[in-house]
Amino acid sequence: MAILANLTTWSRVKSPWVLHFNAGGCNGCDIEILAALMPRFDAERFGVQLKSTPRHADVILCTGCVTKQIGARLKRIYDQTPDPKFVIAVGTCASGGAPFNGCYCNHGGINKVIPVDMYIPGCPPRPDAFIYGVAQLLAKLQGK
Amino acid sequence: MSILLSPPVVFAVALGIGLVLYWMGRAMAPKTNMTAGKAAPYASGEDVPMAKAQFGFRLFYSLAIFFTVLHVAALVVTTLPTGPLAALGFVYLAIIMLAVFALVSE
Repeated sequence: MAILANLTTWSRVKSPWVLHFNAGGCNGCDIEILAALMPRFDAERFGVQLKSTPRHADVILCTGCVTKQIGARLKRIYDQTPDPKFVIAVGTCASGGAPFNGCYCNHGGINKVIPVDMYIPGCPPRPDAFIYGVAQLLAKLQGK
Repeated sequence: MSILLSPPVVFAVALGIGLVLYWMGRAMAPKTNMTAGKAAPYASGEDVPMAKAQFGFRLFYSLAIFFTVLHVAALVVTTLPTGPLAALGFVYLAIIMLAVFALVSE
């Protein structure tokens, strides 16, 4: 069984498929995520591939503070992602809700609705910061 | 060696490999925690309005039978024996024409 476990970890680390979810941001972080996935920064060299459904994703990339309208939808999408799943909060709003924290129309950071594994701060974070965050997550998966 | 490449053996081997991969996947996958949200159809997190619908296969079956009839006719005509019996092919094609006419006019 140890061989199977090692094989699972290896395949998971080599192909972290991601779902991109904007929970209520201004699109600044979303543009940087797309830039990171494009050939200039090429996050795909780490096996990162953008998927269009949570059913195929291992990692949810969340941007923006969670608006009250989208909170339940984010939770449902989190539920629909197969285990084991990981959530990366991309940007300052996703990490803590600032500067919209406490606003009447949102919950705050992503961690107010679903558990978060990795925070990438920045407004917006640069693509290389995003790649560094993904590399940290992969290292965590490998137990390093 | 030829028996190993025969279709039933190849099919059985392919089925066996598929089953092994399936059981390996089941052994490696973590336990699923089924919730209402997980069981719901994916629609970007939205509720999917449910409505009963009945599929109409009438046109599909007409087309499917049309192509089946033509393919079988082509197979039969190309494998007809030579000689006086070959003339029977015209009778067969006449019946096929009737069948196609019935399908089209229906």
